[in-house]
Amino acid sequence: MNEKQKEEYIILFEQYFLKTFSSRLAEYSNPEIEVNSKKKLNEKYTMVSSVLVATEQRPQVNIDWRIYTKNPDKPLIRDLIIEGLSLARTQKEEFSSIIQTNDGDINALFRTLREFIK
Amino acid sequence: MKNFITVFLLAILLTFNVSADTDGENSLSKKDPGEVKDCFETVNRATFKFNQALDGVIFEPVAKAYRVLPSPVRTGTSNVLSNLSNLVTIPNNILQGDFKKAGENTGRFVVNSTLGILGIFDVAQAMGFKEYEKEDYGQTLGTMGVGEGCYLVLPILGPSTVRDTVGSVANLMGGDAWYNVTVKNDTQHFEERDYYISRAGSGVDFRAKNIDSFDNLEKNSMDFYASVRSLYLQDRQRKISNSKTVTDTQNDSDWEEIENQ
Repeated sequence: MNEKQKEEYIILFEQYFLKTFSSRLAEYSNPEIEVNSKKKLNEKYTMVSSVLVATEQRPQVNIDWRIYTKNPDKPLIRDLIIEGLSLARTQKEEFSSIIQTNDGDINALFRTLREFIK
Repeated sequence: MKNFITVFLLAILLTFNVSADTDGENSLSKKDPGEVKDCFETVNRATFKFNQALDGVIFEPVAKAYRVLPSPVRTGTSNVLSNLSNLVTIPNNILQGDFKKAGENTGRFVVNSTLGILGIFDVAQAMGFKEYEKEDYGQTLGTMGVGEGCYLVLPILGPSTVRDTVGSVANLMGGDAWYNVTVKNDTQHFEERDYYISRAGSGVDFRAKNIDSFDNLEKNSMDFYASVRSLYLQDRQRKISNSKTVTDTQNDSDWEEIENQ
């Protein structure tokens, strides 16, 4: 990717992320989260385990937060692992699948993203 | 017992077969997570589409209707099916060398089949048995070090891999006591029909439990096929390692790349 494409990607991704997330999280209305434990994986990462408490509509959900803690003053959430399924990995594989089915053309991903966030 | 030994031998043969003719380099022995190849992608995508269409006209409506049933009825159905799955889980606990769990699950099956009236009530759980974890022959092959092979979408049955498909065949070769007493042998109490009803029931039960998640995933996916593939493979890996986290399988190299910029 060249600089211009990177800029475009950042803009598109931000919109995409907001759209899918607000929609995904809407499913978990009235969330009550219990934080159970945290485990320092290495000097850069800490894993925080939590449980989304069950309601009448849905069973409880285990959520692990993979947090980048190299700079302790500015922790960053890097991944959400829901019932053992990594959101970042799923997302990455979906994006790469789109690029691959279009003969490695990054512009195809941009087109799909643009179409999606409309 | 004879059938059981056949399956066991088959499993061993498969393992050695795979390791015998490679230097650990072919796709079947690849252990790197996330590196499962989609060798049949074109066919898989077509099958996936077919399954989606089928789901739209059969499974989804049935699952939706099923969801309207009162909650105790659904829980009861789900319990009966889950209880039956012990018959596959127990031999696999043994094959994986987990005798403690095999004993536990045998106890669970006996208690729930009797006191729990054919499994309708999960009495074992109320008695303090540990949470039930399903095992199957595909998972056993996985713990024996057999790699996934290529990703495969089966008609009607959905996502699988070459390894998991081989594992499912073991069910039909005597590895599933429930199949043996219904379809394979003539027994007084059960008929072939019972097996197929239970299988279809499991499908509907699973679909009904996940109806919102699937809808949501489909709506939020640009490539639904790829999302399902990724989630299926991650889920299988997690089940094989019997862990609740993915800590060990995470690869940070991508992030490092960003960091170094």
